[in-house]
Amino acid sequence: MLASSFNQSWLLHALLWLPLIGSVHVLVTTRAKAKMTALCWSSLVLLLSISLWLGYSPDQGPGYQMVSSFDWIEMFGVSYSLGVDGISLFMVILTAFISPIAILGAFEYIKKKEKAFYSLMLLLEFAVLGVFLSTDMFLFYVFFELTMIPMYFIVGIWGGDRRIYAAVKFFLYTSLGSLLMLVGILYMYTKGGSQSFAISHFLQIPLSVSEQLWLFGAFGLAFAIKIPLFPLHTWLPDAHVEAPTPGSVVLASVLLKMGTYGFIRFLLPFFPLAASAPVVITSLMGLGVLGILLCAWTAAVQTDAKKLVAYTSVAHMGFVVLGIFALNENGLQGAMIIMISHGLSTGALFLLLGMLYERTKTRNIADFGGLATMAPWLTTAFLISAFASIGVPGTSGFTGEFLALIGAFEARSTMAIFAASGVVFATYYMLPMIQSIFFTRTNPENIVNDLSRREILVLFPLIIGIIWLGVYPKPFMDRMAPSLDLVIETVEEAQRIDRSTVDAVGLGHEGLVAWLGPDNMATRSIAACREF
Amino acid sequence: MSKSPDSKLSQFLYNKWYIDELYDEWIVRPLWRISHFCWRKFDQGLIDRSVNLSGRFAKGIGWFGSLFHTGQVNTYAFFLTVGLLAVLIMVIT
Repeated sequence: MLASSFNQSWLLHALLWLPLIGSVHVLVTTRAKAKMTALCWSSLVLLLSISLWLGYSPDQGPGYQMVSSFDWIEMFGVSYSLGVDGISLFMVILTAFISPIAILGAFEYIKKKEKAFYSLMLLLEFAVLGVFLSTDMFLFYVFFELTMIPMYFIVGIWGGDRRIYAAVKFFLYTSLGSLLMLVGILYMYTKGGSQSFAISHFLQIPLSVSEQLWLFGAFGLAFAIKIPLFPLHTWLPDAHVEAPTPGSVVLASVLLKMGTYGFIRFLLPFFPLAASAPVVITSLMGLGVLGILLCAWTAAVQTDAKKLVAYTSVAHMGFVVLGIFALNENGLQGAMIIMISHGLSTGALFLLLGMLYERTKTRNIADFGGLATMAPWLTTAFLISAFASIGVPGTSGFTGEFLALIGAFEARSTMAIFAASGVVFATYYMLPMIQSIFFTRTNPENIVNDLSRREILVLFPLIIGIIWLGVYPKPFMDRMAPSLDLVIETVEEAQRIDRSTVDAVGLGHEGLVAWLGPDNMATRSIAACREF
Repeated sequence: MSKSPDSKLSQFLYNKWYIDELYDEWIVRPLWRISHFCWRKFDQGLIDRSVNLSGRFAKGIGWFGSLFHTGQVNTYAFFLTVGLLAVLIMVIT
């Protein structure tokens, strides 16, 4: 058992470091070979991630598997420790899956400074894999910050006309949030006796309710900006519109998931009492619903196709947050499935819009028209991806949204009713766009070739994933269920303990203050009752 | 009883009870107006504006600070004196 886990832990190290080695390799190779080199390295990572999928066994329980840990900065208890569980497994595989696709999709789009571009793409993959694999808060934070740097350059160098504005906005916005998280991490570190940054250590730090609420805010803001949760989303449409196609793909498919991953991985287990406080649940689910509705409406009136898809991302992330804060198995599984599904479908949509842009040099919806007759395969691929984005049954979007809505209905039925109308509004933004790009009258100026062989290779895996997840999601759910159940159990356990302390009012108020401290929510609410 | 083809009833039926028109008037157009409001006034006008305002606020502070960096040595000498006096007063009191 020990030997096998030792044998497998090399897999995570290889997964993590190969993209960085590739990134350096791309820099030292010739310009002509840059893209193939990058594709080879990222494909190698994809192969390793397949063996990760095969090697991960859900029967081993909900905890981390293939764990390995080395001291990094012993003085502060910082360690280089990696592990994978049912939550991070899918994020790692999604990252490894999307990266070669995005790189292959960039072959025609990126014409200048190719070596730097592909090197940054691999550096980005390295950083994102680090975020999902690390089991040490310090290591996590380093990688979380590192993701911003390659993305900043990808938007800022290869972007559109307003690329500098978009890149700076992206960078400032997201770094503001993560700085607050750093404060939160350091507070917890000192609270836990300044011994270790390990997640397992952080989980055991006793925190009062008010501490939990403050830390929940600090961590939550960082992740909410990353997701992005309404109303912190305005950096996203700008970044998406200005970013080059492969940048948009990675941003939508992978980078946004770091926020929702953070919600599930850190917010719920670290601060269970804050996360399960009714006011927190109501407000976060409310923001999710607002994001679903307002961003769906906003998406519908966009003239720029890329901006439209960017706003749909915010709406989808609203569903994820809704599912997470339902705090039940259906909700969390739905949230995870939407995260994967959104990675596939929105990635495919951005790639397709990029392909259309390469052909017509426009992203304005009104400039297209009647492409279905000229490019039937491109149209088919677009339709399948768009249906997944809407959530049509048989595609991945349906599985996720259905589960998330069931979960949300169990928790807050009114919210779920409003959120469900978001599915209707998804057709309201998506179908008119499809109609005016691919059907109606033909624009004689546009001569659009159908998909090339390379483009088919780019889109095919995504479409397979969309349909697989829509028709047979069981292999995914079996693997994620134990770890998600553990998260829910942690929250419920903390609630039980808290309730039993409240039941101990037999102590009298003074005794309770002495026991829990005056700033505990239980003591304060009892004090408030007495005054009343 | 025979009705002429352009009677009101037949017109009403011919136009499918005007369901499409009602749908357009009561659902599609209001939704379109709400969408435009959400984008222009709310998303861009309120949220994004406040985001950009916070950026401009920081820029404004920087501009204010830059006023004191004139590049003229006598300005710097003046502020140096003011600072020294302030420190001295603090030390004395």
